[in-house]
Amino acid sequence: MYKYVGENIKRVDGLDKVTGYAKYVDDIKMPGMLYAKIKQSPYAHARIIKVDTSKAEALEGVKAVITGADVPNRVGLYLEDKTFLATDKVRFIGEAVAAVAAVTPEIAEEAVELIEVEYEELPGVFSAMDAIKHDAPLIHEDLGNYKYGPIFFPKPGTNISNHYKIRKGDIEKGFAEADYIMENEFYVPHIQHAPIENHSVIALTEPSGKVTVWSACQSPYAVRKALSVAFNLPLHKVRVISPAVGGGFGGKAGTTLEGITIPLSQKCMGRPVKLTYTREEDMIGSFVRQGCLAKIKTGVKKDGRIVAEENTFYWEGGAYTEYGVNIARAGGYASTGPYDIPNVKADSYCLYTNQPVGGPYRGFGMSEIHFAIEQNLDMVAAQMGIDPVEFRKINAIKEGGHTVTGQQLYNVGITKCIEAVEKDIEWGKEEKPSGPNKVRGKGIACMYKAPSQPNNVASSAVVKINEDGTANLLVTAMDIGQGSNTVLAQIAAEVLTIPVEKISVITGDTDVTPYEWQTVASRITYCAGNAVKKAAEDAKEQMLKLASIGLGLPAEYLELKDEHVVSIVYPDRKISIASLALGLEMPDGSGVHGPIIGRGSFIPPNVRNTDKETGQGEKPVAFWTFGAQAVDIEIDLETGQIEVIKVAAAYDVGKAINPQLCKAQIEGGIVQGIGSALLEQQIMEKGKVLNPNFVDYKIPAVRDVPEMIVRIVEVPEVTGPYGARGVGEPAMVPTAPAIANAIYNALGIRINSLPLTAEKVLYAIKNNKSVSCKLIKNNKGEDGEGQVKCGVD
Amino acid sequence: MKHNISFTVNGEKVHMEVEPNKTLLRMLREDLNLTGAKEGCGAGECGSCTVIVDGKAVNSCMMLAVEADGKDILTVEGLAKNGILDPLQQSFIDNAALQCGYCTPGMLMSAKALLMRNPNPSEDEIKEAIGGNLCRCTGYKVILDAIKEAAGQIN
Amino acid sequence: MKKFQYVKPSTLDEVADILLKYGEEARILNGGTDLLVRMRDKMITPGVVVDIKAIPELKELKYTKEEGLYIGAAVTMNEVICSKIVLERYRILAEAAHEVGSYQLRNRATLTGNVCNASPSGDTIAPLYVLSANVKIFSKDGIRLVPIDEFILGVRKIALNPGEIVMGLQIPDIKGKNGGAYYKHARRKDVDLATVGVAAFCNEGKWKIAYAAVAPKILRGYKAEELLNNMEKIDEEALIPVMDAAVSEISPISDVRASKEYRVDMIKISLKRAVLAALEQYELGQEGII
Repeated sequence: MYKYVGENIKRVDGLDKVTGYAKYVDDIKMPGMLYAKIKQSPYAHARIIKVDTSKAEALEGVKAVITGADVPNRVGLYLEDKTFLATDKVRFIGEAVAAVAAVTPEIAEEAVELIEVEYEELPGVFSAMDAIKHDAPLIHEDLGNYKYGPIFFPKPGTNISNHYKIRKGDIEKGFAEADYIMENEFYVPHIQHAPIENHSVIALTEPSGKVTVWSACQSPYAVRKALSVAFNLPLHKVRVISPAVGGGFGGKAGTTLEGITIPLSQKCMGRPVKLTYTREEDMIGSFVRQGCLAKIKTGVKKDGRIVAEENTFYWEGGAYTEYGVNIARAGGYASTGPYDIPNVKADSYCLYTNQPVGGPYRGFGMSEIHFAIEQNLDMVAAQMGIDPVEFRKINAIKEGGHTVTGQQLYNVGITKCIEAVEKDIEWGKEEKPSGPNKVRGKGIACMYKAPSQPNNVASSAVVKINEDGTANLLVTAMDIGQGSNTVLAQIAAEVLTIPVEKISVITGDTDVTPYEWQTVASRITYCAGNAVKKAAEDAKEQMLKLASIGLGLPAEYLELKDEHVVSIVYPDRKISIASLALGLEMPDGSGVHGPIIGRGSFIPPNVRNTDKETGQGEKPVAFWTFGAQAVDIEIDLETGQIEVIKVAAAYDVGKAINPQLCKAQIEGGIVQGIGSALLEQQIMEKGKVLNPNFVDYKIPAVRDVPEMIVRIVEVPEVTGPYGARGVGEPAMVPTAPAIANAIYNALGIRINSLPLTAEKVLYAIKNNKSVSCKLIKNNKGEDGEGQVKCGVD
Repeated sequence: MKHNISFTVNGEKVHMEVEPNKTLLRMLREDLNLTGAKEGCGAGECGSCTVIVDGKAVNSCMMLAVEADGKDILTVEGLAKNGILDPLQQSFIDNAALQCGYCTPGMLMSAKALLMRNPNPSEDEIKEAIGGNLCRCTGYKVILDAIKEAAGQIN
Repeated sequence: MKKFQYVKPSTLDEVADILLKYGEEARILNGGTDLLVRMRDKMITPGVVVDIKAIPELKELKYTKEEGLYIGAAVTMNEVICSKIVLERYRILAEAAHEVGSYQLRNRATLTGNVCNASPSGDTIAPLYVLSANVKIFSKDGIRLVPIDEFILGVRKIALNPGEIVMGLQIPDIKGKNGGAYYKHARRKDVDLATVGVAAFCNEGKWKIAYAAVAPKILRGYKAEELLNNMEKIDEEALIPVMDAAVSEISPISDVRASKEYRVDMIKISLKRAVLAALEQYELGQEGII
């Protein structure tokens, strides 16, 4: 049906990347460039008494030194709670308190060592449950004066920066109806995005005051806005360029280093200032995935229907939650997972802690809550004596079913996804262990996710037709590896009938490429894809009009075909796109219209605010992506080591614009999911990260990779371009809970926290120590508390 | 004190004056504008700085520039010859064995060094060769496929 | 990295002179895989870095029946792993070297560097213990051989006097039937430090055991050896007291890689697996004579 959409077109950025030609920020060298370095706080929570930069300033080769006094304005995407350098207080170990620009990186390093900071240490807060205590030390005393978006609910005078609520149906009635009620608790620790490229930024201030920033960033326009607020600059005086980005996973979605390099560059007019974090700085000083404590109380009928669920999520948001508040919100509006539950009460608390700053991480809250939801489901199913796959099928959202916000859904592919992985993993078939002292187990987990974004976020695209019939596509959707340049070119190609190799994709320059809110939330194929489709259609319409004049045929009888405007009725009557690119040339030599420039703008349709008190709303999100994964694992009973042997994954992507890239996203997500399941954790002691390097923060390497069976389900999203919806983040969400469920399947042991390290697994086995889930109502429907064995502390 | 060194990079003879405290990686990137090799950790844990020195893959972040004296160095920029891609480069594109591309140069050089010493490697040998190259995007499977394809094991 | 002076002498005498002149200020650059990382992190800031890779005798790997195997200080891990003589006669060493870092790291890293680094988790040190390796040390006064377990004193501490340089490792010839194995327990299969490691080696029925990452230095497992030496039949069950003996010989700590408790449990399992693997090699009848 389509010529380019649905095809495995080779990555358009492939050649630049395999030849080493692709330029990332740190690859850029400019004349007169200066090098910056930050001074980091050694304290988790302390008042800054004095910063003495005199010795650093006196060092030869030092061109500028800045402190918090140089960047006083508060910024933040959703809640303006941070400054780029600490001003009054430091709130986490590693926070930047001062910065230096010097002629060499070595001098900058030396200068930083010469900066003297006097602190008065304050008591710190290092866990969600400590943060929420009434007498907890306050991390942001001024919370009441911060600006924030209307969909957030901070509680001044506490460490709660957002309290998001869901009140659906009648929770008390739901629990009263239930035959069983159970309560479980889960914890997910802080982890790191760990893209192989560390954060890097270059800033240049021109004599006019205009600032240009080259930043490894996912969101040039969001960065531009934050910088304009921070430095009182009008938007046209800030230019953000994002060259090749070496992986983001959400970690490069915010604004961090830019705000440090700009004031340095303002003090060194005309000289570019580069700041590149080391791995250690990156692991502490950039975003992390926040910790999350989840409590779930479930009420179930004997037939397996969940009739009530009460969820409480406590997010360890870190020192600043400008971004984290929205993760708590996402956790709230998705709080039950992809299941249709009539009565729900959910409370999602974003909490300040004296820990590294929590931010968006692939999955945006979904990995964290699904680790709890999907294990809880298995625990309940086990109590009920229902097979986990069956239990999911019973409760999964069906056609016309409702989400936790009361949104009614159609075109729901979740059951298809469950069936696909059930088949691919050979559910129910026992596998033979590879040796003595080893056991095998299988587990399943599902997920859903919507783009977590304000309702009216905008995308735009421009298509310029060149006079040789090629085209330039301008977008600010950033290809951070997911392949958006290729996919967006395919969409443009489909409309224009111009082959992908004749389309240049230009991205990431706020002076040149049109507005895009952010490259996050698995929204680009959907949002930017829609904008590109509209831009291409706009160009097409212009060309059909001109051709109509040229051919003397009505436009409605014309179509684009093989790079020509062709008559539907008389296929030999046609005009090439090339000849229309600069307008139509008339027989008398005159011309009409001028260059063909297609313009496309898009805002997800009809996404509206939810009720403040109940969280209920018809359409709080643009679309939902559903998926499931099932795993087959082997556990070494003597060491506790887990080997993931096979993962089957199925996602309803609506329409795979490029199946090869879709599959690549899913495979990458699975392996990242395995990392978070088995290896990854920021080990902290009173806010100090003890493993800020690849020596002790292990991400998966090649021998951690299982056999992967990836199945793409296509139930079209009616508002998506060609029916497409996003899949980048969903790819990693179910992996960890599926593995945890497989442990239970193999051993009858439940581990309720990540990572599932060999050590944790071994002691779960040895002690046969299980987490007790609180049984509030037994299987006869009688009240009374009991303890059931279903996991390990 | 700076040192005068001579070596070959991608077939070209180079004479340089370098400070002893400069790593080979920094010299390649800053002085020779060969920015294909990247720094991901600076400690030999991620492999994104991998280049080939005298036929062997090494972490260029853990070798001093002065140590390059007299050596023959191949970087990702030297893989394609006269505009024709190395079979590995082509198979990486064909298999979508790259996403953000940051680990790709190092990955390619580890794979190249492998195929130079062993044109027909087993799967285990491929894994051994790239075990020190971290990729956060792809999940590695497509990279294994690409290397096998370049070795002529898959068509 | 802070500034330093780089020198690349071509004789051991020159090295000795430099070391005597600069003392603690001078550091040996061999494979650099440890030194350069520590310099990057400013854990050390030497004034002089002495590259020893231009000294011909340090690049030698040779075997004679009389003296056994000599591995020069500048011989890389991968050269050891690929050496025919090592694979035939000292297989355990090749296996352990293979566990160090990544492939590209092993193209630079050396066995002698691993030894001089004296990390409690050094993968090649435990096998060198059970092979009764000697460290060959050069000074202006001559050459001396020090047994490896006397050479390594503690965490990053070695028995080297001012003006001395390690030339390489001397491993005695192995006579008679033998077999050995190194078992490493780590968090990740690729490129990881040992959480614990055990080297086991049996020669003509006599066992030698060494433990890694469970004390400030690599330890010989004398008690375990004694039990094994007096054992008629070695199998999983018979090994239980040996595993317990191992626990009594170690003093592990808790750190980010593992708790003390887990290391204790893993030394048992690692010991069992190393001994059984060594036994398998032994029973394959690997003779000390080609």
